[in-house]
Amino acid sequence: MTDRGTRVRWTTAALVAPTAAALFTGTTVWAAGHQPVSTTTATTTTSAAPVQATPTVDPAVAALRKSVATNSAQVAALRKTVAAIQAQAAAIAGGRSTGTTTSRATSTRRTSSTKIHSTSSSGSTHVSSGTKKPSGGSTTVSAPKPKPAPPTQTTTGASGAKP
Amino acid sequence: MTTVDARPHDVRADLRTSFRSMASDITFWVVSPTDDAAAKAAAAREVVERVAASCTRFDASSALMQANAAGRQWHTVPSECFDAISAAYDAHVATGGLFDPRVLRVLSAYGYDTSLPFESRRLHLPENSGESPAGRRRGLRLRTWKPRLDAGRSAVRIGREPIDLGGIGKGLAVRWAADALRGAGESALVEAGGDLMALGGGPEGTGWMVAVENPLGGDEPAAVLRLRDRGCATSSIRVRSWTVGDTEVHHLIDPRTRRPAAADLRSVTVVGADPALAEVWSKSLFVVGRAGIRQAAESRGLAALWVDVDGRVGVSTLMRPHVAWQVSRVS
Repeated sequence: MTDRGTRVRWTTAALVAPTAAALFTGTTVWAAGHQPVSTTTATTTTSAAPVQATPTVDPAVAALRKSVATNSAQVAALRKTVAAIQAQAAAIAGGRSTGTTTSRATSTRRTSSTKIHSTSSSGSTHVSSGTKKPSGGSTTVSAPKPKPAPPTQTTTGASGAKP
Repeated sequence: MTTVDARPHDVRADLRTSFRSMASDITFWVVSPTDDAAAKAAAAREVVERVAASCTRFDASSALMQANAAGRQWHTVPSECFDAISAAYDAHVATGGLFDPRVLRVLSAYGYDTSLPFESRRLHLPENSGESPAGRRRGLRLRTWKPRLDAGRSAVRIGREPIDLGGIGKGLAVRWAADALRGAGESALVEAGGDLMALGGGPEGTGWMVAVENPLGGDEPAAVLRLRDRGCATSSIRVRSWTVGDTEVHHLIDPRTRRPAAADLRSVTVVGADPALAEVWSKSLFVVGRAGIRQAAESRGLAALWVDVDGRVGVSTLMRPHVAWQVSRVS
C-alpha cells in the first residue's frame, strides 16, 4: 500500500463519516417530530395477542346499557302520565269532564276524618267532617266553601254576672 | 218555667225547665224523661238555689259573706258553702295558685262590688278606693291560701283576705244539679250561663252539640263541640269588661299580679268530667295567657280551646276529639 492511497482513503472516510452521521441525526429528529399516519396503526400495534373478529362486551357495561334502556322506558311512561294529569287539570279548571284521564288521576278517595278546608271569602279555615275532592286536582281547583256550623243545642261562652 | 217539647225522636216529650238564678238563665233539659223526672228537676233546682243563696258575694247576709267577715274566726256555714270553700281550696292547690278566690277586694276596688248589668251596656265605674287602697291590695301577690276547714262542724276560717266563689260556685251548682238529674231520662243537660254538664247522648243520641261562642262578637261560633257525659266551662271577657277612669279592666284577675289578667286571650273553654274543675281550669288557663296556654294545657292533660285577641282559635290535643266543627279564626 502506498502513502497516497492511504491518504485518499482516510480523506474519503473523513468526508463520508460526518455526512453519514449528519444524515442519521437528521432522519432521527424528523421521525421524532412526526406522528405516524393513523391508517398505519394496525401495523404498528405490537400486541402479542391476535385481534378477534367479534370483540367481547364487558358484563358491567352490558348491565349499565340495560339499565339505561329500562330507565328510558320509565321516563317515557312518566312523561305520558304527566301529560295526562296536566290534561285533566286543565279540564277541571275549565269545568269539563275528566273522563279521559288515567285511572290513577281519576280515582276518588274519600275520607271520614276531620279535614281543614280553607275558605275563599274570609281567609279563615273550617274544620269539618266531609269528603275530599278527587286527588288529581291541581292548585287551580277552587277551595270548597266552608261547611256551615251544625245545629247546636246550647252555647258555652261569656255569662252574666256570677253570684 | 217548665215546658214540654214534643220531638219526632221522642218516646216521651222532653222536659225543659228554665229559671233565673246566680244572675244567669239556668236550664235543665231531659230527653225522654222518666216518671220522676219532674221531681228530680225540682230537686236539682233546689240545689242551684241553695248554692246561689249561700255563696253569693252580692248579699252581705249570705253565708259566704258572713264567713268573709269573720275572717280568722271560725264560722259555721251551710253544707253547700262549706263544700264550695273546700273545693276552692283544692283547686287553689291543684293549679299551683293560678286559681285563687281571694280576688274580692280587687274586684271591689275596680267598682265591681254589686251585680251589674254588663250585658245591657258598656259600663264606666268609679274606682272604689275606700274598699281597697290601690297601692296596698292590688299588684301585691298574696301568700298561699290556707283556710281552716272543719267538716264535722261545717265550719271554716277563711283568713284575712275575703274570697269570691262566683265561678267555682256556678260550676259546683251545675255539678250537683246534674247529679240530681241522673236517671231522670235517657240524657240530660244542665246549663248555667256558659257552664254546663252534658249527660248521655242528647236528643239525637250522638252527643250534645255545644256551640263555643265567638268572643269577638260575631254570629258564627268559634267551634261546635260534641259532648257526652262531659262538663264544659268558658271563661271570657266579652261581657264582663268595663272601664275605671281611663283604664280598661275585666273580671278575670291574675292572682300573681292582683290585676286583670293580660287580655291577649278573649276566651278559654275547657271540657272535663266535672264542670266545676272545667270552670277552674278555664279561668286558670286564661290567666296563663296566649304565650303559655298551649304548653300549660298539654302538660296538664286538659281539653282546652281558646280564642286570642286576634281571633285565632287554638285547640289542645285532648280537645280535638270533642270538636265537631271549628273555624281557625273568628272576627
